[in-house]
Amino acid sequence: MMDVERIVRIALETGAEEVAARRVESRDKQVRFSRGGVDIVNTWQTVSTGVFIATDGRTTGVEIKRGEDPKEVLEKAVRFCRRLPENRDFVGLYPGGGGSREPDPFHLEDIFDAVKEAMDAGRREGVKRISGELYLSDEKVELATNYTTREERRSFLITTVRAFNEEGTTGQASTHVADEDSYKKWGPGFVGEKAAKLASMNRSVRQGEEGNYTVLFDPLCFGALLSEVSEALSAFLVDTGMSFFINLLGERVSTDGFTLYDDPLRPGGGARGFDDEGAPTRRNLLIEKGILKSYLHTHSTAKKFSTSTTANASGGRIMSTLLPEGWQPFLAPGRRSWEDILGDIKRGLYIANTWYTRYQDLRAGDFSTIPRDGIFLIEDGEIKEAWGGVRISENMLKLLKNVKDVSSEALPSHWWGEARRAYSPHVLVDNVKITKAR
Amino acid sequence: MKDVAEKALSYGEGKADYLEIRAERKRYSVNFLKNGILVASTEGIERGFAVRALVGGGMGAAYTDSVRMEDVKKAVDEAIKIARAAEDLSSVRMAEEEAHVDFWEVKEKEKITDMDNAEKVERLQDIDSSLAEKGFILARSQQLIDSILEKHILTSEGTEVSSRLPQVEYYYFIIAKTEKGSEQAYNQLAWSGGYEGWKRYSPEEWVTREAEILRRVIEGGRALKSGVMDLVVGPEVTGIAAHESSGHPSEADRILGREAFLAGESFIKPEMIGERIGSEVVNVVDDPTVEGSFGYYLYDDEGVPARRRYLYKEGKINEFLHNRETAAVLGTVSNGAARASGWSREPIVRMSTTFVEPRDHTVEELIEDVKYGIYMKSFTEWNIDDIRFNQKYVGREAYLIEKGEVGDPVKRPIIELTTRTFWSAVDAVGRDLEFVGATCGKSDPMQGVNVWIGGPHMRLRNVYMRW
Repeated sequence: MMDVERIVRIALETGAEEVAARRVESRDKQVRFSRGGVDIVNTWQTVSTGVFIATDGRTTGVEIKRGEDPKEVLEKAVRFCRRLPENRDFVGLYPGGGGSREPDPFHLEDIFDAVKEAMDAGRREGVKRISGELYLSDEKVELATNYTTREERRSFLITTVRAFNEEGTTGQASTHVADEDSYKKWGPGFVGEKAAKLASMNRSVRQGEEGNYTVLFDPLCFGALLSEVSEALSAFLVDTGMSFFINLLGERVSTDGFTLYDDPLRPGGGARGFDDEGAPTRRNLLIEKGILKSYLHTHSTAKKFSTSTTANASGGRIMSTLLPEGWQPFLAPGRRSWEDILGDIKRGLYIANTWYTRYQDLRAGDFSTIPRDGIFLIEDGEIKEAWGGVRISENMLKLLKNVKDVSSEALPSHWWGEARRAYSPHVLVDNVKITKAR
Repeated sequence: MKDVAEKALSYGEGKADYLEIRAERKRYSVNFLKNGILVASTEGIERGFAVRALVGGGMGAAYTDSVRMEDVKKAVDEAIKIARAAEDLSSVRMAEEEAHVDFWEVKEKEKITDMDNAEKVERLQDIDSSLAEKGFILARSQQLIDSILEKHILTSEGTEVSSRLPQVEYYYFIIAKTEKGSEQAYNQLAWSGGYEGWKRYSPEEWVTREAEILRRVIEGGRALKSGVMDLVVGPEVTGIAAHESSGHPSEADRILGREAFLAGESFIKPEMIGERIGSEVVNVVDDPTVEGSFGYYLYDDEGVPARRRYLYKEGKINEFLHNRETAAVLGTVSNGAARASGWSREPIVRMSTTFVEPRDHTVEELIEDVKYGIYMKSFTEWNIDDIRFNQKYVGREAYLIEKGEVGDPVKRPIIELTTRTFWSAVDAVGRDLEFVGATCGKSDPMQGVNVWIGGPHMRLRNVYMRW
């Protein structure tokens, strides 16, 4: 019997009515580099056991640490839970199980060789220095509820490289891979080379001009925006009133060429076979040809919305509650190559990356975000010059409705802690408002 | 945990050029109320060890959540092993520092452990009821988090610093909606100490007042014609500008490129000390020792004593924030800015309480000298580029100033300007001083650290405002 099954049994004996226990054993390793050398190597060896407990309509979560007596911790947690007011959002755990994903664990023989590969790929003409990281995550996850017991290995590699040219301007690339084929295509060599190429192009930067532009977004940049879209599709946030997708189910939110999935079955940094209440994950169609088809659900939010769970229940670090979370947004590719799309742009911009996306009206979707690592003016289908100092000041729904084209290949994109690991093609959007500092 | 850390340090003695063991134990409770429903309520203990080793120029760190001696010894071995493996690719050094042996703590008047969870939930429910009664606050999200952090920092150089830090944090995000539109507000009211701090902020009054402000902005807030005008900013706006465009660019790890691939670098270069960046009335400081502050500490996470740092002094770039690693590169000593957000993170250069030093004006004096301008008391959307030069703040509570009088509410005024433009435009600084809490994000894996931001009111001349 797994530890998590034993924990569920003890919790039920202690008086809990429903229990979801999740044990995550992590062996993570990270190498960070800058200024031509390695800054630090970090390793983590942790075992985290979080337990979600429901009794009498009340819910709580508790962490059982290594060496602690589970019975003692759980008795205390159940007593604590009984004194709480009802959690009227909770209707019960997913009353089933399943999920058959059995990926081969991803591993690297020597992480330093991979670091050197990224650094070497980034060393090209015009690149003065590079900075970046390789993060290898390897988790063994066990989950038990009243209704099921599941386990799987989740392992992946994140590679991020930022290249600086002699002017101090930059190019950046960042991917997540979880299998050998993806590693060969999008691993450290690809990331280093792409970052260096962008840095080589990003020269003689001049201050950009305000206006409304046709913009071709790089997958890294649009992946970060997809992460925002994924967040707003949480049924919990919709129910709370904190989403720009409220009351839009079945409505047009984008154009025919825009079809978005949450796809945790695709190999990658967001892949998983089951969610934190034991529901088997699947490829969920969220936006089909521009029509909003589904929010992201747990079993409880699904009941509230009279539908079925999408298996997106996340218990956070210690399973204190179960809320919907997108695992791995996947924007379906279109037909044309991104080079062909760029070739047809009369006047517009290519934006490689962005950061610091913030909202002034979350409910309406009004936001701004700051492009970086390559903003290029396109004229007559060719990149003419590099810009700096601009900001995208937009509305998320307007931006989605102005999607003009989606390129033929979706790339894995990972962009820091604010964004989810996504798959995004290049995306062409009309009429994007660009502002700048005065 | 301290005895385990001591034994682990002895075990690793002589095997690395520098060895540091940080043991942390945090007791916490979290309550999360959404639209009147208690979505999460939990309490527990988080604990673990961080081991850092420097071998040659290689730095390795190993983290474990086990408190068993053999596992912490394994972490020591691992940190030394990976530091050695990185030695050929690295040239990390640490600046000289005296060994310090000390204990510090923040006392609570109303102890966190004496506060029953039922009362915490009740406080959130009372605020929620007050908001719900208004009828126009459609989205109400609140969290009440408290914690007591016990920490021990031991190094092979003889440093041995222990601490006990209680903290309380109240966070809200509300959205008001009427037929005329919607507006949002959020804030973190947070402090070090016990529940006596609740009275300082009076969250119920604070949030219900905020709700009424949002209604007034929706119902009567006007968008004006964009143009150059004077601007009076409140402490929250002063604070976010101090944090984003003075604190962050003064972090020496950014200046040196160690954060380049994520959080970015800085428009400030090492040789820019003494260069003018703002007007003579501008002093921006970062000070971990401000009593009751959310970023409070007396020794940093490398065991270096904390002190006030003048980042911009009389409008000139004056001092960077350092840990021992960045100080070594720039040939100086650490000024105690090394912080790790928890036991599973490395200490990097961070802010604490970043604010503009108050001067001589009353708020009335700042406003009475404005013929036509905007009074932006607080902000909602904001962002800044990754060298901390191009920034934007959107007003949340804002009013028109005409002939020295504060008038009607103004809807979402925007300033989008450079760091130099912002600080150069300041011509007068108020004598008031207020702070709010914030969680500052940096690094990968992400490290969110507790800070205060704040300052007095300030007046800026001839700023381009847009709508």
